[in-house]
Amino acid sequence: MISKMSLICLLSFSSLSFASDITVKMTLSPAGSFEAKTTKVHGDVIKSGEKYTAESLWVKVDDLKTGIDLRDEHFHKHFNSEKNPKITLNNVVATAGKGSGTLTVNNVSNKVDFTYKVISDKKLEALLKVKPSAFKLPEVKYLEIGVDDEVEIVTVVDVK
Amino acid sequence: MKKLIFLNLFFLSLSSVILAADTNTNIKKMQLALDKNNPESVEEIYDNNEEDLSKNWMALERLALSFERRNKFKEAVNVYRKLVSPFNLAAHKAIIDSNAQKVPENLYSGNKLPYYYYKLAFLNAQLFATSHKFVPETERTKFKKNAEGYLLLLKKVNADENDLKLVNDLILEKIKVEDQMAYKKSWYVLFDFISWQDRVYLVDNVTGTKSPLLSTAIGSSIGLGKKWSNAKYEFNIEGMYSMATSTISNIADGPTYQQSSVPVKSIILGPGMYYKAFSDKVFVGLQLPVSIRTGSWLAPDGYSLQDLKQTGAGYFFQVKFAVSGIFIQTRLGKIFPNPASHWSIGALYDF
Amino acid sequence: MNKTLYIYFLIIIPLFSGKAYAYPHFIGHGYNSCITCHYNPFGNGPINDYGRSVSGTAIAGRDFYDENKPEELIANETAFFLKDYISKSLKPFIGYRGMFYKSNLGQDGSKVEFINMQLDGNLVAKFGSKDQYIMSGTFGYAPIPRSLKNTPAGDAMKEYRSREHYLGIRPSPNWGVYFGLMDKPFGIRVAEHTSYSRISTQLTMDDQAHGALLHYSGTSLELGLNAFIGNLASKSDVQTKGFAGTFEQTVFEKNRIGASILSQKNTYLKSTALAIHTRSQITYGTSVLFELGQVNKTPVNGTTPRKENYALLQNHIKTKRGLYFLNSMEYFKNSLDNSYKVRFGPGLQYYPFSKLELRADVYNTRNFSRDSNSADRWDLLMQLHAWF
Repeated sequence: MISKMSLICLLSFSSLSFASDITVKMTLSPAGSFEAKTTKVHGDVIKSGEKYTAESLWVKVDDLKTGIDLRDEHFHKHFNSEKNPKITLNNVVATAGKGSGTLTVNNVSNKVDFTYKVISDKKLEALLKVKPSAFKLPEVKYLEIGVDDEVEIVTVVDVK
Repeated sequence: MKKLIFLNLFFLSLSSVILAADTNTNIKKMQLALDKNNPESVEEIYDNNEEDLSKNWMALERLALSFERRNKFKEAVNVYRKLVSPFNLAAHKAIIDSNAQKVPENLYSGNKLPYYYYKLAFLNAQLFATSHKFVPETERTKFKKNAEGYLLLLKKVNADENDLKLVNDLILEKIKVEDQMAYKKSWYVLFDFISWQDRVYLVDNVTGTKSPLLSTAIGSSIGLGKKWSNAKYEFNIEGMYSMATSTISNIADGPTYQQSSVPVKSIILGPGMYYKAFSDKVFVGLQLPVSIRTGSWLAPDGYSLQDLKQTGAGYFFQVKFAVSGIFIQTRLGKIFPNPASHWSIGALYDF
Repeated sequence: MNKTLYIYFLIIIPLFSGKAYAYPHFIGHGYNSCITCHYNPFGNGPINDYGRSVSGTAIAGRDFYDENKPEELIANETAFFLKDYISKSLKPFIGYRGMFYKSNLGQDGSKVEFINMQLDGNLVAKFGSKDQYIMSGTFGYAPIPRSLKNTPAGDAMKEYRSREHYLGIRPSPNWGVYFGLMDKPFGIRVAEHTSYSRISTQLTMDDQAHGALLHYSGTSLELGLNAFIGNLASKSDVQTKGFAGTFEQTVFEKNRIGASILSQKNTYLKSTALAIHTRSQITYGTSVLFELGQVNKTPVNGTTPRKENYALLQNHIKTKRGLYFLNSMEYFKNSLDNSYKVRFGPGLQYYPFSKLELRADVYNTRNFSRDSNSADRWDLLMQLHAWF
């Protein structure tokens, strides 16, 4: 009984494994850059023929880390993580290297397009560029160093 | 007779009421102790009234919480198991026996089985995640299997995805850490640039006077090693063959002697270790080499050279960092009885 | 064999992908360009408010702080003496460096000295709607270089002077023009002014020149062009005139490759230097720097010209926040000499809290020559650096 349950459990939870990750790349002004990363990506990407879909992919803002504690604090506060703890990408449809979905950040939703490449049978890497201002995120400046109004998001997701 | 039966019934119901009142009071006391963050008192109250409180699910829940607060996960698991069975045995059996991916809601909407399943999954996962090398393998496997089993039941009762992920993540993280701590074997080749200094003695064949000579060698080495490494440490055994050219001369009083471009060879063997304290790409460590060195210096007429062949042993402090699939390694140390440092810079490739 | 070693540096090492007090290894923390933290776009000199904050919250440790002290408070305390940034336009800075130096360890003639290397005061004034105008002036104690002590050149030098003063205009975040006394942009501006890469190119702690500097910084490209006429505070015969240029390109995100050129001349010497370099982040907080260069020096009096080759490999490893392990290896060859030198230098760098750096280095220098032999030289350097 137990071993049968264990086998079923293992098969059932392949979609919740820890192999996905997301990197948000930001450019500083006048120079420099930094990244915010997490491996805690939630949601399933389903493959059907040559089409990939996902009902909802999301990350918790507080899980995104930049490497410097103070910068993490500023980053999470900037995204209003207390009121809007998640960044979600819903209704994802992708085929032939391109896709789209609805990105919700700071409780503001916008349709976004992205490109992707197949890394293996079980993995995809997607790339999208977004403007934080389109999500009503204020301009960022800390001690005269600002962040450009275009960020690049790269995510590697598991495919079911 | 009727009077007797009536009196019996009266005292029975009276004692039931009194008993129930006592049980409720004790449950309240248990809750108060939890609120005051005094979990030991919860257990004490339960132990003093076990006969009654063991039949009450509210008391058992509080007892389980008191164990959880003290990280007594095994004890908490035992209590939650009692809450599942016998307290909810019928529904629990029906859920297990059902082949449906999601069972009808009526099986669990009127009871707290989803909550108990979650606690059992989480606590077993905690037991698995916190187990160490002194916990028997059978027990560790049991914790993992139990956690996975209750996760399956949670899916059947339509549990929150976040709860499922939390438990699953605990299990996967532990598996990942264990995999990282297991030692894996591999081989590597190395190529480096190496330099050292030798002390050789020029001996006057007539007087027997020994004059020290200093030889500075620079050359390259190729080597092969086998290593055992995990996420934190690396142990290796390595052999290296060096070919160098040297310039030798006297550096103290004595006959003038100088020779350049003299071939010198050495074999260095020995164990070493690295510590990956700072990241998985940067390693700091120590190597303990034993070396056999030969040099083709020539002795002038009337003289001979001592220590043309020499064995020695010493230490290297070493640092290596990973770049694009290869490692760059630097070493600085000493091989006794050489008079000066021994250093190298090179590249390693694992296969 | 020296040729082989040089070729080794040339081929194997580049596989991976300021004044002398800049810290180019902060590419390990994701900062590709110096201008993020410094007013001088090529590093060195005073750090701006952001640089102060980074120094306190990312570089320096928190061993001496209460574990509950918020990072924001630590950041605020990095301001000049005060607990907050009270002036937007005027930014004062004071810096000190002192070094305990024990040379030739274990040998006869081994000496111990304490050297006050630097005591500077600086004031930066920023103005304009976007702070696009910057004025920076540094003045302080600058010891006569030990090699020039008791020489006419040394006697002519003043111990108190300005090592940097300029007016900078940045019409946009990408472009800037600077006029004044600055270091020349060339190669990697490592903190070790005794490095062969600094000595051979004559870009050490007192080699600033008056001139004009053009700076461009894009997303992945950085460029500097400098035309100079020498340090006008020094005697005219030693004022070096010429130009310098440096270029860096980001490749594979966390690596920069670059090339530099320097041509300068005074009454005595004409020199031209070329170099290539890389700076790479290995992992967060850890970097590796590499530079390979050649300097052609032609004495004006017609004596034999010489060619100097140098190489530098430096590894900067973050062990934990505030504590770094350094590992340097250098090569130097002079064409007039049959010998070449290799120097190995492990070291430790500790920032216990913001505004203080402690550093200890051990250097092993070995000469290689076909004609002679000498014992290795060991030197111990222990440095204290404080700024406010």
